[in-house]
Amino acid sequence: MTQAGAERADPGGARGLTDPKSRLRLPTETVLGIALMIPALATIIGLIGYPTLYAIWISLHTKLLAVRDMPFVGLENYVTVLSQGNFWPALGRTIYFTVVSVAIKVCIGMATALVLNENWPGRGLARAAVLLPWALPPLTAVVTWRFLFNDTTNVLNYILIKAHLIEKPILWLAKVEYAMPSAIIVGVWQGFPFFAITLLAGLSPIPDDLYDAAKVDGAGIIHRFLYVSLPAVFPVLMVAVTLSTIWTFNQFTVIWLLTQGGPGEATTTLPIAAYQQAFVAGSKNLSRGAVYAVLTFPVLVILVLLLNHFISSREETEA
Amino acid sequence: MTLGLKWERRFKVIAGALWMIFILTWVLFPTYWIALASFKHPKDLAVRIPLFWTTEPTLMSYKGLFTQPFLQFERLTLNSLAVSLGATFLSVVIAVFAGLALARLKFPGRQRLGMAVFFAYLVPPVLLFIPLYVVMATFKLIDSRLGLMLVYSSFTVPFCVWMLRGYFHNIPVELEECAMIDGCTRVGAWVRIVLPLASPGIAAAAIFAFTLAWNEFLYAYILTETANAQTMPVGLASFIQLDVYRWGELSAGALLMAIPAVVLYFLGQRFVVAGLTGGAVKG
Repeated sequence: MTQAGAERADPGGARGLTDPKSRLRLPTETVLGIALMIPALATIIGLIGYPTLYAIWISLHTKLLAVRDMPFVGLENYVTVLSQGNFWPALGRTIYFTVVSVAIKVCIGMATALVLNENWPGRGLARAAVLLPWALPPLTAVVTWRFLFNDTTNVLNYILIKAHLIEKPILWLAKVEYAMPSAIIVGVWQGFPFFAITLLAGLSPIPDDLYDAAKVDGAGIIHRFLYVSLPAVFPVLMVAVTLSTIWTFNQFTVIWLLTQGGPGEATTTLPIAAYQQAFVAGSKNLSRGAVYAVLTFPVLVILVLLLNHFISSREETEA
Repeated sequence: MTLGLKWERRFKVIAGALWMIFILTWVLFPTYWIALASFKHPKDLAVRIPLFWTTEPTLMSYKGLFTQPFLQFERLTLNSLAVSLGATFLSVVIAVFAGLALARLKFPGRQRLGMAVFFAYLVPPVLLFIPLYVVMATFKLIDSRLGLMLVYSSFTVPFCVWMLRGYFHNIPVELEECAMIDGCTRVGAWVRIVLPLASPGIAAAAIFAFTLAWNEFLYAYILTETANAQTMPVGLASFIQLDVYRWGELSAGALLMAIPAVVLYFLGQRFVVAGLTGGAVKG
């Protein structure tokens, strides 16, 4: 207990100095604090902590959707999944989807934030418009894009052909080579506003003096970005990149509603594979699905450690 | 630099304007397109040359949505509302307690507990959906609104705790201490001083929690089976998987579902100051 805390504590704390018996008692702040935390802790332990461990437990057994019993099989499911030949391609697709999506989100988000940071009439409205895809339910976003991609309602192809960007219609979701880029387009569409707004919040406190001083020193627009804006937003950027990487790596809804992992396995990332093993494929093997999910856990741990590092270093620079 | 400042300024303005036109088109056109589709006559939906405007808007698609016997759209709406409101209410109450404890009381481990809550929010549903399915099945909570509401608390509770902790933290402790000097107990000071001051933050936490639950898909998809508990996104997703697309009804449903989410999101935005805790936090 810190000194400031002791001073603020109820009479119990002050009595502790004189009454030797109350030293055995826990300070009231601790008791009250823990009591108030109990409901939240119970929810988090019950619905996050316990299920995480239970996922590992399930992956060490054989649990089929329709069967009550789950015999222990040790690492057998891991051996099967890792040797099946569909895990590694799925991991590769997940990494590809994540890296490409996050990189594009950063670029588009940064460019948009830089423009929104300038003073021009109507930028408040533009800021709200940019936030729109982020505020939409993923289902609405996907339905919208499926509509645009669809080959019988063909608006996207129509526009692209009219603009002479393509010669004949693209089968966006039906062709193996276009399905992944389509999923990335929709994911980026929904996710880039997060970067635009977060980076805008990082850019806006930079005083104009800094830019003016750089101008006097002869720094051009690119140098001012590299040596004034970028260092100032870098801590925020790192936190946003890590958060977005976690969300993108685990993206299920957008990909599933768009392509269901297809055509073939062209967009089957790890989250899709986990779902398919557990609830779609043949015997509906929850344990196999759990293996896919558990194998993403190390990635999450690494990202969370990185995030922790970025947040604490950001707090240090602010302090 | 070889470019003069004047030319550089011009370049900046033109590049910025072009970029903003591109971004706004990219963001707004798809939204416009689906809104337009929901008001088009079905015969105008699948045509060779797409129509960028309709002269005779019709509510046929909306009517179709509500009269579709297998979809039961009203029931889906009701389920979505019940589950989202339930999860929101539960989470806000839990989070007010926890937020006060984390922001206002000194006890061992509270820093770590605060971080643990944040990281709990980051544990993805993909890791949890299989074990949660098994647990819910054990408790006979599959296809139940109560079950779904409990599962939604797994992300709304950490989210609200994290947000309210930050909000309570920014209210000066001195106000509370003044009330205590005037004879309030600590809890009395919280109820009379801190909570009223924090009401915008509590409203924002509630609003964002509601939209998180309202938009959620994966848990609802695996934990519900019938119109008993199915939510709007799940019902509409079954529409997508039909062989023949009913684009009119689908656009109408997707748009109706988006309206509360978008309105509430922008409302919630007004309650919070920009920054990582407010600005753009969503799962």
